[in-house]
Amino acid sequence: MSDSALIFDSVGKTFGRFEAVRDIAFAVETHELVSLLGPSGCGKTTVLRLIAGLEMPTRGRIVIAGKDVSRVPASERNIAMVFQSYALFPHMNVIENVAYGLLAQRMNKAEAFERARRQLDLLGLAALETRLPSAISGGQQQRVAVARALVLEPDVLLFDEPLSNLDAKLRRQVREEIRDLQQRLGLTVVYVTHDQSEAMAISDRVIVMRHGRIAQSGTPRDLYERPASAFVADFMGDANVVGAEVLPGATPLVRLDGLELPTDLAPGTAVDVVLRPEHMHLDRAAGAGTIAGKVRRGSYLGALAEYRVDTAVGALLVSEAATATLLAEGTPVGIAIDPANVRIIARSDEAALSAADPRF
Amino acid sequence: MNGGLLGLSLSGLAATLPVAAAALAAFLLTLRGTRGAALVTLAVTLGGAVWVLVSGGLAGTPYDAEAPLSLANQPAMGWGATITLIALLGLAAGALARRGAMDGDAFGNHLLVFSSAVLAIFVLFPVVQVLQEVMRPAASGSLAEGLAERFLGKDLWGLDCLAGGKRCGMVWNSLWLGIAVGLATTLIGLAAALFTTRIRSPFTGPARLVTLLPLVTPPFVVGLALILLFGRSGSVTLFMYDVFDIRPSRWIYGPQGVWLAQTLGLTPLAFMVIHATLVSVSPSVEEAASTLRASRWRTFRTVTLPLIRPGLANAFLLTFIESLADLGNPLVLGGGFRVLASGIYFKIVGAQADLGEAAGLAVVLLVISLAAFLLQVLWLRNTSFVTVTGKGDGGQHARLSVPLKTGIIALTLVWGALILTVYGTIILGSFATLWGRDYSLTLANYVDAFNVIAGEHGLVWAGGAWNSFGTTMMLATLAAPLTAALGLLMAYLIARRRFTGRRTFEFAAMMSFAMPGTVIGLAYVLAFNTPPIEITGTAFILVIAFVSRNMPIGLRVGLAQFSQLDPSLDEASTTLGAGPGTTLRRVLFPLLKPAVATAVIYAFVASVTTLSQVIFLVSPRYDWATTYIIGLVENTNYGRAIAYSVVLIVLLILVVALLQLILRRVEFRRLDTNKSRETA
Repeated sequence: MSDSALIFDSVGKTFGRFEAVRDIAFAVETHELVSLLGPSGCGKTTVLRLIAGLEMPTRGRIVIAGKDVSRVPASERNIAMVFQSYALFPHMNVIENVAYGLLAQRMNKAEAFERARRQLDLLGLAALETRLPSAISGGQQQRVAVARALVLEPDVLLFDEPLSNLDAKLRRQVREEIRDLQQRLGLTVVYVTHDQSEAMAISDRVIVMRHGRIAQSGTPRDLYERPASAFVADFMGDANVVGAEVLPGATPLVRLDGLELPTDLAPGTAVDVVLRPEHMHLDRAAGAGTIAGKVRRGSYLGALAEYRVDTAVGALLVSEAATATLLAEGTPVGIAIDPANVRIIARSDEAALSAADPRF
Repeated sequence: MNGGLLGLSLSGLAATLPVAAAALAAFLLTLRGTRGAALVTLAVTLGGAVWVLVSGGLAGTPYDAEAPLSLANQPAMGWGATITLIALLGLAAGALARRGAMDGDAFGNHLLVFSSAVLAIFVLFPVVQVLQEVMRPAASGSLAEGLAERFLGKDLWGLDCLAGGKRCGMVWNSLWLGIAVGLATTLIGLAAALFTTRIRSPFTGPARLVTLLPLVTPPFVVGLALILLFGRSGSVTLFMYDVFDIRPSRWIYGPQGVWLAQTLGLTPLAFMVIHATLVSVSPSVEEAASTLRASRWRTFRTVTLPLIRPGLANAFLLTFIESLADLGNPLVLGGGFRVLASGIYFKIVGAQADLGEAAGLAVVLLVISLAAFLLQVLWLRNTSFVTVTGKGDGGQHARLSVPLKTGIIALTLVWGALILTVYGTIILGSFATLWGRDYSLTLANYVDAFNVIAGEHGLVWAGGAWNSFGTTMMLATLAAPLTAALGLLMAYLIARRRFTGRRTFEFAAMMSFAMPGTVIGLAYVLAFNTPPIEITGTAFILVIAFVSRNMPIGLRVGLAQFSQLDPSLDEASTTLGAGPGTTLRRVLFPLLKPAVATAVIYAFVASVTTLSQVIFLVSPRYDWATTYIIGLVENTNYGRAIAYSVVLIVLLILVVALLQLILRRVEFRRLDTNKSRETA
């Protein structure tokens, strides 16, 4: 633990009576890219600001590069941050922006500008040096913001939803650039986003947050395939979450209409059953081992066709490879799924999906 | 204080010992550096600061058994005590930072402590003195009788005028006048705002310029012009006499005259407020209404009008407050009609001088003003529709229905014509030999005021106005940057820092805006005539009065600008390793330049044109332009008074034009960068 680049030790932060984050504990290893993922208001940005020193923790300890910085103001921590709005100083040109941090730390002017210039070269921005931020494109602004942060050689580099001001095409390209840069320079990065595909694409590890707590953390694959709660399952990609109860029998099982799923949970346990749309497929006839239903609506999405199917356990979303024609509304179908792909999670109060979180 | 602190304590002057002890304790506690120690330091240093104030500037107070709490007998604070006070407050701020306030930032804590001290000493303390004066028992009778006389007297609350009697109480006069002025200015302001934003006409540009004129005019100058027009020997009056044989009367003197003058003078304020709200109404909601088949009139009545209602209320309350505070017009045009502001004046300078009664009037005036101010704050907090739409989207504002349009044009043009007449009168009047009798043009009035003779020993500033003009220019120039700096720094604290009591701090800072000038003047007379802070009759008291009264100008401008400025700019600077001071200097200040320019210039204009604030504070040595002019009016020397006013107005127009020039340059730079983005 001691050689982690960043350690959060049961950190809490309250604003007045509002508890923004509580009892957060995690560590980020050197050269690792960790994403903080969650819906708006989950506390992920607060965690980032706590790392930056823009907020001071109410409880707990924050350690950066082996030093307890819990009470150290932002200006004296060796971190750097790329803001959502980029926060480039509009009255300074590109190179003045990049040199700002070096000058603020009393480096002499010539050397600061020399270092800034090298950093700009490295990011392919050399031609923009004397432009004002308002005179360059959004993608370029974003890269200048990265250059401004990188030039300080921070122990931890922070990103606050850096792609949200870019259009969809550019987003994919820039996130690959960020990942490349991180790998090439061996940066330690904490990255905040509310977009799960973005988080999965670039992270070594993802920390999913909810209501100011960590819901689950792990590799993107862990989270997608073995979500610890219905919330995580739903947040990491599309998922049908169906409430059920474990039935007694020789082997305890969960029954969804015709579909029987064995489980080792105790009979009587309330569970959430997670069914990924891409794992299910539609049979023309409802048979044994399937969930019977009727197609309510089919949508053609190019590579895929997506169906909303009314069943006894609720409306389910199913995606299939697109066929020549879509199934018509009202077509009776049976939904089949390999039980190995179904995840059954014992429901805790905290994890209850719809009850606790009105946003869903 | 004579001699150093150390010398004094060594020579055995007991008053300095507590401060020496506090300093020593603060030093020892700093060595410990725990949060508990910081708390004790805070208490000790603040205690020391209070001691400096009550101990007669460290020179010791003779104990007076009659009035043990009286500060009147002690010597005034000198430089030594002032420096000690500042040092102790600095230590307190440091301790506050070590306690963890504002995340332990020393810079912000110093700012907070010092600006709070300014508020406490120069706003709160004087008001408390006014309250104390009211509580002082009258010469005859008990405290209760004194209070009853001061608060319930017939001259305050009398309603004789309703029953056919001659006059009503001053409270009713002030209220009715304020409401009438508020209604009239809001109505005309709305018409003018609609005229400039929704009606295409060649007069739009000139109309905007005309609305700016009264801002640079000392308020009573409008009243003066009304006298020249409608007074007994006014030009209109005489014309009516010559042509229609209507006998000249004194009808302009009284509530009608004051109302007319204030309405003309304050409409621009209402206009600016309503205009700002009106342009922020998104055209798309009006378009939506018309696509829903609402007629033009219906769209206006059910969509536009409700959306700008907060602006209308704001305009009404602001002009109401200004009308209450106005002293000049009631003095010039009031005749026997007394309002609270002029009542205070006559209770202080008149034959019936009575500080206790003046204080009573001041308290009533203050309460009404603050109530209106509170109402304004609450109203604005709860009903701001304008921000709902947020993003500016394109589209066309709905056209106005024809009758409405006609009404607006008529009202605006009548108002515009009146304003032009008033200013024409002022300019002509300043060149007339004797208004009403002899209209031949002359420069005598200007020569009278601003003559310069080449004397034996160089130039002689012979004109009577030079003394007050010099003082006004010098002190207003000195006060303006200080005022703007204090206001903007407070705006920075409120907009950008989190600390307990932030709302209270904001409220206290804004409150001094709602304090009528006459109340401030009286309060300063009461508070600073005697030790510990004895500054009456100095230039310093004028500067302080401007700074503490006009600081909300900078505060408002600053708050508006800060809300436009992305907070992550400051945060970016901080995460890049810059402290709050560097951030303020290198990031915020350059971006706030337009706000700084605006605040400095409006602070300057406000100081030059004020009358009510300075009228009790001027001294023969430090006379003010406006008080000098009022003196001329009292001696019916209208020619010179108007000539002097014209000089002031022209000067202020130039100053404001300079501001526009600065702002436009900044604006152009922004436009340029916008353009280059489009081409990029």
